[in-house]
Amino acid sequence: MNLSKRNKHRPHQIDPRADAFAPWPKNYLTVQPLDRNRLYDFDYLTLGLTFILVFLGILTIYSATYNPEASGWLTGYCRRQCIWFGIALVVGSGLFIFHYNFLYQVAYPLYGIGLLLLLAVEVAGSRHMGATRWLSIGGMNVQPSEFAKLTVILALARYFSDRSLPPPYNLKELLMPVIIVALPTVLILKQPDLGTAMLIILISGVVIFIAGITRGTIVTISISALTTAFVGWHFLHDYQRQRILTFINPENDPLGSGYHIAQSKIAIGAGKLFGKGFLKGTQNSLHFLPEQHTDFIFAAYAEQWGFLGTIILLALYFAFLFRALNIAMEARDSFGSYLATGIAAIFFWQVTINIGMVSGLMPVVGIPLPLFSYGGTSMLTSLVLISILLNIHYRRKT
Amino acid sequence: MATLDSRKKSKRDQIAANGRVIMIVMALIVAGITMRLWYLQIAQGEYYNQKSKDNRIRSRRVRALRGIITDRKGEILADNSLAFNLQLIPENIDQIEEIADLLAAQIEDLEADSIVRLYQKTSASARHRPLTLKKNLSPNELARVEARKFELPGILIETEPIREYPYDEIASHIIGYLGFINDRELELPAYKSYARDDLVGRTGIEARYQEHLRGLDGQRQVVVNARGRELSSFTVQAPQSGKNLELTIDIDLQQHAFALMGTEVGSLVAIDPKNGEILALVSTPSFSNNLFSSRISAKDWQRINGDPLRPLQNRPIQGRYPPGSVIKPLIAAVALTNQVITPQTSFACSGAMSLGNTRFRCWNRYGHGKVDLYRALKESCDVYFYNLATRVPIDSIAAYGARFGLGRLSGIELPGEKSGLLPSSSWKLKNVHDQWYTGDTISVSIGQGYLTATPLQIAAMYAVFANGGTYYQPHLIKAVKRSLTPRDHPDIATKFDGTRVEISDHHMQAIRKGLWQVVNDKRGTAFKSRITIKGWEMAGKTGTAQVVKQTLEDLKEAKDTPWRFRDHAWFAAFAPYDDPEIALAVLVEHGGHGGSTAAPIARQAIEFYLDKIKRQ
Repeated sequence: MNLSKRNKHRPHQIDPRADAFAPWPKNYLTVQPLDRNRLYDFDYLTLGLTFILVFLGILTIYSATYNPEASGWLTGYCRRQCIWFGIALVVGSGLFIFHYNFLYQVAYPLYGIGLLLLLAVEVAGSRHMGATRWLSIGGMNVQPSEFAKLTVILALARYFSDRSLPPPYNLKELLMPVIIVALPTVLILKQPDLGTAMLIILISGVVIFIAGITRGTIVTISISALTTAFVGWHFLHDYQRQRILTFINPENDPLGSGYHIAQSKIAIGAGKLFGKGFLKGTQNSLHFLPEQHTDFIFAAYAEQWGFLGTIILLALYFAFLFRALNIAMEARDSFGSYLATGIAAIFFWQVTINIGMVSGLMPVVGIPLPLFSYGGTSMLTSLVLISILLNIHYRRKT
Repeated sequence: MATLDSRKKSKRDQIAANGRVIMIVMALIVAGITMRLWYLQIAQGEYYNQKSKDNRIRSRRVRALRGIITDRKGEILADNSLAFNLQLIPENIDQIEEIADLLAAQIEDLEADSIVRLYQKTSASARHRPLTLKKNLSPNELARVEARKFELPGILIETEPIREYPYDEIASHIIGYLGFINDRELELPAYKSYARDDLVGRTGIEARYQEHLRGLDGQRQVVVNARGRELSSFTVQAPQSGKNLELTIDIDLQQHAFALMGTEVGSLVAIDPKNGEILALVSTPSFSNNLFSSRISAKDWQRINGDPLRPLQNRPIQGRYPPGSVIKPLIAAVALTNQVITPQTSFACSGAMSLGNTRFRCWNRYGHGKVDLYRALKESCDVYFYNLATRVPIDSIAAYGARFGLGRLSGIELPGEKSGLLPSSSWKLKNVHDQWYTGDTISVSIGQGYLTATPLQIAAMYAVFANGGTYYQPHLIKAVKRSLTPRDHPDIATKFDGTRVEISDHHMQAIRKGLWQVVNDKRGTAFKSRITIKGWEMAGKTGTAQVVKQTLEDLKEAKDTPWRFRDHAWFAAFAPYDDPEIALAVLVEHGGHGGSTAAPIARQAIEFYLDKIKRQ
C-alpha cells in the first residue's frame, strides 16, 4: 500500500498526455516467471547477435594468446573468458526474472552508492600505473568507475521519467541532470581516468539528447564544452597530454608512446581485404600488439580477417545498436526508453572509442571492446546491460 | 493542459524523433570508422603489409671467423676460441641483492653494489635483454657459476668467439692484438663495412693484414617478436672465414730467443740470408696480447702502458740505436769498393787520431799498432776506420749504405716501422743547417754521431754479408692461404727477388774473413762466444754503442755506471760461415760490451736454430 501511494505521485500519471506510456505494473517487485505463451515477445535477434559477438571475441582471444607449444586449445585466457561468459549468462538470466522497473526504485540509492564508492577510491584506493582506480573489497578488486556508468544512466532515466513538464528542456531545466553527471565525472577525473570520464559524459549526452533539449541549449552546451576542453588541457596529466599529442602524430615517436598505435595500425592495415587468416597474424602472434587480447583485440581480429572481417564485425555491432534503439522507442514507459537508450549509448561509445583508438583516430584511453575483449568485469557488465535491454523489450506490453 | 507550450511534445514523440536522429548519427559515425578501415586495409594495405613483414624479419650479421696465423711450420700463433661471458637478465630476477652478493663472492672483480646499480639502472623496456657482468670467465669461475646454477636464476653464461694467442707474450709484437672499433673510425670511409662491436687489428700482423684476416660476414634472417627474441632463423649468406696467414717465423727459435733475452731489454732479429725471411723477431720486455682479446682492464692497460721500459714498443723495428762497431764492415766495404784501400792496407793505431784540434780516441787507449782490414775488424780498431773516414766522402757511405737497407724503411709487413738515419751532407744542411765535416764522417765510421739504425736493418745488412752480396727485403709473410689443409695452394706466396750489392767478390770475401776472425780468432772481440762445432762456425761483429758522450776521465767500468747511462751492446752475426742459414742481430739496451752481453745470446740462438734444421 505504501507502494500504491507512491504510484499516485508518478509523473506520467499526473500528466498522461506528456508521457503516453502504460501505467506502472502493480507487481513489478515480484518475481515474474516467464510466460510460455509470450516466448515470441523475447528478442531473439539481440540475444543471437550477443552470442555471435562473444563467440568471435573468444575466437580472437584464442588466436591472440595462441601458443603453438601449449597443449589443448581451451587454455589460459580463452578458457577464463568462456567461464566468465557462463557466469555472466547466469547473472543476466537471473536478473531477467525481475521487472526492470525495480531499477526505477533503486536508481537513486544505487547512484548514491556509486558516488560513495568513488569517494572511497579517493580515500583508500590502490594505485596502479599512475592512477587510483581500484578498490579492494573482500579480496576482490572493484573498479567503481565501471559501476558509475550504469548508475548515472539509471539516475538520469529516473530523473527524466519523473519530470512532469514535457520536453524539450532548456538549460535551467537541465541543471539537475548536469549535476547528476558532473559529480561522478569529477571524481573519476581526479583518479585520473580521462577515458571513463569522457565516456560518462558522452553516454549521458545521448540520454539527455533523447529526453529532448532545446536547440539553444545544444548551442550553449557546445560552446561551453569547447571552452572546457580548452581550459581542461591545462589540468591534464602529462601522460594524458602526451597521448593526445602522439595521437596527432604517432610516427614522431615510433618506439615511445606512439608505438602502440603505430603497431596497431600496421596490424589492421596488414590484414588487407581478406586478412592473413586465422592464427596467421604475425603482428599479433609475435607480440607486436600491446594488450592484444584486451584493448587491442580489434587489431588482432582485423589482421586475421581483413577488411571483410572488420565490416562484418561493424555490421554486427551496428545491428545490435539499431536493435537497442528500437527497444528504447518501443518501451512501455519513458524510464525504460531512457534506460535502453543509455545502454545503447554505452555500447555505441565503447565500440566507437575502442575501434577509433586502435585504428589511430583517437587517443589511447584503455576502453575495451564490449563483448569482444578479454575481461571478466567487462563481460559481466555487458551481459547485465543486455539482460536489462531484453527485459525492457520483453515487458514492453505489460 | 493549458500550460503546455506549443513546441512541447509528448515524451513518446520526443523519444521517437530523437531516437531517429541518434540512429542517423550512429550510422554516420560507423560509416566514418568503415572509411578509416578502408583506408588502412585497402588503400594502404600493401604498405602496412610490408611494414608488418619488416617488423618481424630482422637481418642479423653472422660474424666470420678471423683467419688463423701460423708460423712457417704450421704452428698456430693466433687462433679463435670460445670465451664464456657472465650475463644477467633483469626481468628474471626477484632478489637482486641476494644474487649480487652470491656472484660477488664467486667471481673476481665483481662488486655486489655495482651489479645492483646496473640492475636498477635498466629501463623497463630493456629488462628482457641480457646485461654482461663479466667477459671471459676463467675456467674456475665458470665452474663455480655452473655449480650454483640453481641458486642463480636469471644468470646465464654466453659464449662468444675470442682471439687466442697460444704463445702469448713471446710473439705479441709480431702478431699484435685486436681492439674494438671506435665511433670515430666508424665514420671513416675505410671502415664503411664495419659495425659497432667489431674487433679490428690494432698492431702487428693483426693490424696490417686486417682486411685479409677479417673474412666476410654472413647474413642470417631471423624472425623476432616484439621483445626481440629470436623465434626462428635461416641463413641467407654463409660467412666466409678470413684468410689464413703463414709467417716466416720459426716459433721455436722465437721462443728460445725470447727465453735467451731473459730480463734484458732489447731485440733479437734472425733472418734467413738466402731469401730475407724473418725467422725470429724478439722485443723485450713484452706484454700479453691475450689481455686485449676481451676488453682490456684499466688496471692491465695502466700497467703495460705506464711501464717505463715501454713493453708496447716493437724495438726491432722501432728502436733507433747508434749501431756502434757493427757498422764497421759496411764502412770497410765502401772503402774497398771506392778503392781507397785494399784489404792489406795498414794504418797505425796509437790509441787516438788527431784531426785539426780534435783527438778521436780508439776504444783501446793503448793503441793497436799496425792494423790491416782483418785486424781492424777482429779487434774493432776505431782508428783504422777513422782513417777510412778521412778518405771516403759521407755521401758515398750514404749511397752505399742504402743498398744494404740502412736509412730507409725495410718494408716489413708490420705497422710503425722506423727508418733510422743514414746521414748525408745534404741531410745535414737541410736539418742541422750546417755543412758536413770530416769529423762527422769519423763518428759515423764507428757507428756513432748522426747514424742510427734499427736491429732489423742491422740483421738485414749482415744477411748481405752472409750470402755474399745480395740484399733481400726482410719479410714476415710466407703465404696467404684460404685454409689450413695442405692441398690448398697459397693464394699469395711471398717471394722477393734480391738486389745485388755493388761489391767485388774478392772484397766481400775479405770482409767475411774479417768477421770470421772476430769470433774465431783468439784475439777477436767475440772469441768467447765462438761456435766450436765443426761446420757451424759463426762470423760476426760486436758493437758497443755509446748512449752518452764519455770523456776519458770519467770512463769507468760498466758496473759502476747507472743502468740508463750504460752503453748499448750489439752483436750481429751469421752462420755457418761457409753456407749461412741464419743472419742475426742482437741488441741489449744498456748491456755494456757487445762481446760479453749480446754475443752469447746470439751464439746460443744460432746453435739452437742450426741444431733444429740439422735434425729435420
